[in-house]
Amino acid sequence: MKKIKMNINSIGMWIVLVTIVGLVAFSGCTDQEEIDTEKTDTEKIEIEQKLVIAEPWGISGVDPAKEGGTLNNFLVLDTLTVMEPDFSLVPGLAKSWELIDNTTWRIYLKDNIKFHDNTGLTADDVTYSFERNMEINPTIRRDLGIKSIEKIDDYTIDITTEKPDAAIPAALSYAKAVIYSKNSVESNGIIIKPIGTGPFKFEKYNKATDILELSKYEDHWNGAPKLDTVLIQGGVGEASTRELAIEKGEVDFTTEPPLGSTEILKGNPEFNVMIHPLCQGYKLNFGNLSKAPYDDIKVRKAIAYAVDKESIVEHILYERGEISNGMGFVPGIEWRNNDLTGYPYDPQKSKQLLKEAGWEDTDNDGILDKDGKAFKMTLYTWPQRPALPPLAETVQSQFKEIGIDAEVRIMDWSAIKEHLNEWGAIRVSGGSTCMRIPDPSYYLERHFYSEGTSNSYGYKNEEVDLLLDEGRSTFDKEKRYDIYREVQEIVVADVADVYIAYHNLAVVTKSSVKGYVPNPSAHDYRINPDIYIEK
Amino acid sequence: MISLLHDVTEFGKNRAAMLGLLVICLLIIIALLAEVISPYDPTKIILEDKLQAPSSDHIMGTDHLGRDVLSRIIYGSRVTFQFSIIVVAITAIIGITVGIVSGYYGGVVDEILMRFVDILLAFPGIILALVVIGTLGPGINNTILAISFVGWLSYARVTRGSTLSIKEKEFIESARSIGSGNIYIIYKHIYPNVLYPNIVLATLHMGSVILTVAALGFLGLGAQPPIPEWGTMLNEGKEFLRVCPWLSIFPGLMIMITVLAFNFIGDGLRDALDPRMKEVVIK
Repeated sequence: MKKIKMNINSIGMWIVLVTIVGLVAFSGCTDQEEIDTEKTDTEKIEIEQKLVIAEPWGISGVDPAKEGGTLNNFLVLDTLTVMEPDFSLVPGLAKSWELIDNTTWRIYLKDNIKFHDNTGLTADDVTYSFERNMEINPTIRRDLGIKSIEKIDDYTIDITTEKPDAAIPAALSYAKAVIYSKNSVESNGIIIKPIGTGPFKFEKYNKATDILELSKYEDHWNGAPKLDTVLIQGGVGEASTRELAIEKGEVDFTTEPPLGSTEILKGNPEFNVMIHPLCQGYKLNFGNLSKAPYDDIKVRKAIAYAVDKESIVEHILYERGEISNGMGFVPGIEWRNNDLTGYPYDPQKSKQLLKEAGWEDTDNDGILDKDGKAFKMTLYTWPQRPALPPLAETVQSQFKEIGIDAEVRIMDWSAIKEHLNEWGAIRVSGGSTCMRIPDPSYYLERHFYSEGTSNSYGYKNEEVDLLLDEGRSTFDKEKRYDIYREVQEIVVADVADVYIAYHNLAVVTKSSVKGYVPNPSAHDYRINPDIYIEK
Repeated sequence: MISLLHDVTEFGKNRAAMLGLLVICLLIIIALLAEVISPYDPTKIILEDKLQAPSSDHIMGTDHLGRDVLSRIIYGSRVTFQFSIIVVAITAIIGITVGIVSGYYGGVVDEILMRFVDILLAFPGIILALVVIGTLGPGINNTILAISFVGWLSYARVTRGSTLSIKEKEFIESARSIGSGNIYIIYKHIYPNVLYPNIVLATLHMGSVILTVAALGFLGLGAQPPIPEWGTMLNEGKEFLRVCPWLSIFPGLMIMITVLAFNFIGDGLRDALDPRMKEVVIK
């Protein structure tokens, strides 16, 4: 009886071993076969002029007042003004605009624009879209800074602001300030089939599979796009899933493959890998600037000097990042203060500053202390951006060098908020697109105005508030340059946050996909009408 | 005593179980001597040394932050064992207590406790663990809590079953007739007799706990970096699976070997302690 049992056990072991060997040996074969069958599909797609995109973020709906700019990014809905890839502002649905008094902008619309349902665009659609967007989503009103919008005649509207506002023409290019036809709205007030004016028509959106389908709009005022159909698979959040999808030929276009795979994909002639700057970055956000220990500027400076930005960019971000000079604007943006140098890596200076602030290792345990309190804190970050967890771990080890004992906690982005008031908490963050509205006020006010929407860390400097108010209501561009450069100088001197590196986006396409133009102003990319599939 | 000797001999005859025991003993020694045998500091980040292939300097290579994978595996075994032993101890104590109380006293107590167990059993364990961690946040302590929350159910079930059959035995009746109290009977007669099936269960449970801990670590909900935990290492290695497979292969192998070893031991113990093949211990 026992003998039989024993044999069963050894047979079990053999089965396990054979299965493992089998899996390893045959996995390669299956992949090859799959690639071969996919090849025929690829050829079909090429003839079809169809672009399939794997998008990291979820699409989450098609009501323009509620979604975050997807329909503008994929060229279904247009805006009154348009931001070019070089951050300059050009006419969109509006042909021109002028300031008629300090708080009123007059916008003249193009008169040859047709919606996808063949009706013409008039001022009514524009006022309707703006009013609906701002009513359903009050943050859009705050972002745009618009008080009211009024029709003057069929092709003219007036936009009134509370205070003089130089940023309005730029704000009109915001991906959330999109224009759509009144006919899009169903009887119950919602939109499930948006009718826009862009180069692509909305075909359908499947909420369950998160797939958005678009088709060519032949009668577009600026000529039809080259692609016939665009299919967007939303919510492919896992970097390795996106990589496999493009390698297996399931999609033609995707972004942000795993950090470790950039070289492999670059070496494969079947793919085209473009790494281009975005106006985004990686930084440390102090949990609360009004509370100890970060109410002391010396501690903040010490933290800024303790981070080895160069080595982080080289070893963690690879080519997907560039060292920052301490400011959120990437090189090339005209508003950027290029004279800033930021805080280069200098652990000695960092220790010195902490000593001046009263932080010393009195009990020789390697951790600084002050009045009996050890410098123990937590670095919070989230996993969706693949570079963030290793970045946090590296910062943790660099903090250790200067005597700060940090713990890393990786959790959902939304759950971090509750922890930011803990003693010494820091958020290691990525993102913060700086030019979603191509005006310096967008980024600087959000992050450094005392009531800014992204100023969760409680930065408050009255001088900065006054300058930001002044910059917004100054119409002379040269004066605005000076004001906003001064703001940047002050916030970097104040160490309101610790900017580490700018984020470079990796776009992977099949080599047959031609005509993609990087757009550093987008979050994270924008397709363009000139993309086509080479036969 | 004779019975114990019999069990040990039976167990010794089972080659797979002995192999499992050997592996586990080896791993425990490694975990205990981590400081001595580990060649590098498992949390020391040297970015310049990142992603090195296995070599004589780094037998299992280095990870994306230049940490030695072998050292992390060695320290990882300590984390894994600590984790799992704590979880199994907590769950076994709760489960056995609930099981004995439920089985011995019966009636309303039994009804209430067992319906509660039924309700918890109806939930998939990992989902419940995810809910607990989602509410309390990720981390070692919360993971232990989350896994323990559902882990004790099977102990309670098994113990209750055994208790029900044992309490009808004649020696319990005679103990009662000479005036022994409930607590005395439970401690002296019931408890030793329900221990054997629970030992088997605990050994098999070790394997599944290690897997759950690794799964939660892989999902980023278990041990937080830079703690070298096998599941977390798998998760970190995933980004570099194509270029540096050793980052995932070694922790993966360790998880597999350890779980397999515990399951072999569990199977061996079950055969050796099979209650149908031996007499009830009477103390």
